Amino acid sequence: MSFKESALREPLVEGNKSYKDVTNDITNSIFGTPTKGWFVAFGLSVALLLYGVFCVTYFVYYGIGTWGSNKTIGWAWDITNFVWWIGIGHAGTLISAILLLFRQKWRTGVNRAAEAMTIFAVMCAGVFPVLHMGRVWMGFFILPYPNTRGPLWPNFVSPLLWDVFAISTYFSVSLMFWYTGLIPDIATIRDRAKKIWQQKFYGALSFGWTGSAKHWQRHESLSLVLAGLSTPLVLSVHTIVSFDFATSVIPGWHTTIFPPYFVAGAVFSGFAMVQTLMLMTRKLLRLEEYITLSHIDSMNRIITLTGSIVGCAYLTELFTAWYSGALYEQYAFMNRALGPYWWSYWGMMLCNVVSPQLFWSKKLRTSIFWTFFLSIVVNIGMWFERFVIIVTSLHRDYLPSSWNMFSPTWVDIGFYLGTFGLFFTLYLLFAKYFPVIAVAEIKHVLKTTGNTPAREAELKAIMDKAAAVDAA
Amino acid sequence: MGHHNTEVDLNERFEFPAKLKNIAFGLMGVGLLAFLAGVFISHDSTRTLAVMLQNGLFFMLITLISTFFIAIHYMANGGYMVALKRIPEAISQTMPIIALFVFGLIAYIILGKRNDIFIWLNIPAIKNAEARELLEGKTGYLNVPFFIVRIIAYLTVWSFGVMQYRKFSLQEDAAPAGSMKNHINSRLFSGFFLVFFAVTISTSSWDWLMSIDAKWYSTMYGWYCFVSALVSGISLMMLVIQYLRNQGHLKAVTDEHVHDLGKFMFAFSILWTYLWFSQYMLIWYSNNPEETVYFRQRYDHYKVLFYLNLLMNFVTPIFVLMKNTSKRNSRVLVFIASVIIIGHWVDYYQMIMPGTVGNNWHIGMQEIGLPIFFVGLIIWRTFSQLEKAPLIPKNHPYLQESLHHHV
Repeated sequence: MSFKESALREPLVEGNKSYKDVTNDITNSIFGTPTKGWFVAFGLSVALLLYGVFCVTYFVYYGIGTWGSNKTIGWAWDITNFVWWIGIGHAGTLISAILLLFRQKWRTGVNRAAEAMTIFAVMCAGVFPVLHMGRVWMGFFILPYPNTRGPLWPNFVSPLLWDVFAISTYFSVSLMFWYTGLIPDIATIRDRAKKIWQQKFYGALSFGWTGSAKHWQRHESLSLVLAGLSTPLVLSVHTIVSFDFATSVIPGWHTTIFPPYFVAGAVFSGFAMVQTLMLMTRKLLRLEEYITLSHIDSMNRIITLTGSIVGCAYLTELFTAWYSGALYEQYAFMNRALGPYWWSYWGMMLCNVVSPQLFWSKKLRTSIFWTFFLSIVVNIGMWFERFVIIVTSLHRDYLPSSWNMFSPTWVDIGFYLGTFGLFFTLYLLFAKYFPVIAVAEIKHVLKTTGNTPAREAELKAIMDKAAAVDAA
Repeated sequence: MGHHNTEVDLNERFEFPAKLKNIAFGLMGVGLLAFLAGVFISHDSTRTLAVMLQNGLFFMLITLISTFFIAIHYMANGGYMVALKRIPEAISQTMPIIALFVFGLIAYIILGKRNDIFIWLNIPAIKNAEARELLEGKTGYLNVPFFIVRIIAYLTVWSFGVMQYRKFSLQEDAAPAGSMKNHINSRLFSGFFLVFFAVTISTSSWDWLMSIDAKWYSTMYGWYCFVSALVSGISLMMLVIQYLRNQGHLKAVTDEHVHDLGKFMFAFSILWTYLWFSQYMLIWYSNNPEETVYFRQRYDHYKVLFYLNLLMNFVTPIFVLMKNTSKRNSRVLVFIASVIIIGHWVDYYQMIMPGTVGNNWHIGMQEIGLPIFFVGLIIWRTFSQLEKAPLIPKNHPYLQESLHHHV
């Protein structure tokens, strides 16, 4: 007798699908002409991207004096956006590595798109620190290699350099993990392709995959190795991002809870972004039977969990700032809550701590409208969080004569909008030309988690019996 | 892979063997005598109170983790653990007993104004004006009435949770097959319990542990103490499971279940190290004397324990448990679970002692005696609770998943 999933669990594939149905449903959109909606979205994204490119060109030419940063607030918009995008990039790896270890089968419905999103989000994030260097063509100076600059090496004790290593490792491993998973599916598309260019294109990308037992065996060992490598990476990237702040002695930045709390916050915002994208994707590509309400429910639970962890961390920080008895620490937090940027602090609290608690209600957790709405709210909240940490901790330093405020210039805003353009351009291309759901992996869990009339009958029998017994 | 559970007896019961019972009583007796002898010889009430605090808190928290384990599995709809659910259920029943001990002890310390344990209990006695002023600033939180309200709240609600899960579970056994009522109630209760637990597991460690070094603070502290207890609590479950399996009981719990618990031991050991490192590194890097004093004292005067802590709780588990086969090998698991429990006992020791007994610490009769007593107590209580109900919760809706748990 083999493993049998309890009928009490909600099925992960609806509609009594066969293997063939799975392939057809997921890959058909690749062969068709994109819908009008896709063209509109793509056009808008490219336009945003181009505007971003314009802003970047403008400030690279005139210098980053065109940003809103000033002498007191040397880090503001760019680092806020960097941390925000990097955080979003956490969900993919969490889904592919950690949820794999916890044997969460629902991950198969969303892992492909989440991993793609991770890669695009990390790209968007990387743009900010690189361009903050000003003379970007000198960017390679951050790499430690024997050089002709004399004794000038990157500063190995600086967490900013650790970021370079952490993020580049994260990006490469995520990319490899995502691509290895794609290979069997790309081969499926190659085999079904009718047009020559498609056969050539997907043929080249599939690395000669034939689906032989040997290929599968190697594929599985590689996946395992990459999952093993990815697991610590889920923690390490945002941990090191948190070190950028926490190793300092700036009140509001130097606090020991930062590493785990940043990781929780990153997963929180990452899942919110996955929800936003998945709700759109399942609708546009008609994948409601694969990305089901049960998937949405599970992701909302993770949002509530991580949101609550973040909430505990906020309160711990606030409490400890008072408890520490350190004057500057106390001021930093009072200034956050009651100073000129109070709205960003309370916005953060409302969006990140209060709003996910609504998901204790099953009704809201399985409501498309509320999920979509709250996923946006959470992402706004997580942007506020970084803004609060970065700007409000800096804008009033030890010397009141240098206290200052920050407001973004049109260049700052354009740069940020441009990264949205980049993100959605890449995601839309991915959604059009690649399977957004892992076909092979869905087939792997179809027999145990797919819905069938027999399963429905079994569930009904269990519930009827329970109702009868418990009523008595 | 794995054996099939055709031979699983769903009504299997455990009988507390007389020999084990004698061992439990023997440990309690020997431990208590050694402790009393140590108390008598040392004549140092600070040391005795500190030892009692360390052991009371440590053993209470690691038995409480069993309830946390059950709660989190209800919340997350975990199916694989059903076959072993009676073990954490039984272990957790020790927690309310130890809670009484902890309550009595802390009440004694607080009402006796023992500022050798909690310096903030008698602020006017502090000579240094700056320190006095600093601690006066904390009296909004560190004051006797509020402290007592908090300890009563923590211990009552935790003990209530411990007993409530057990009650639901036994009711489920008694209910007719197919009933879902107790399962649903357990799930609903988990929401409430876990929220309370998440907040209080941090605040309680600020109260009972961090306030010993009252001038010092670290936002990470609560989570650090929690994970230390978490990994030890899971190791304790592992020890009980290994004993039962080696005695030929618990056929339903296969190598697969054991492997999963082994993975938890591995993962949470690394998580603990991650928190240890993050806290240490950030304090070291910023080099702020108000914060570094905590590690300075431990590194200068508790150097052996400072390193032992890392050796037992990080180096040993990561190297031993990394291999797949070691997570399925009974002897290795018993060894490593013991190392982890003793290691975290050392961790709690080095958290408490520097702020109480100071730099002049000893491991003597009382330090060894009291944990032996508690081990005896946990054995006696766990196995006599295990005896009271069948080893398998046969009406749990996810039982079949757990009986056919393959990887």
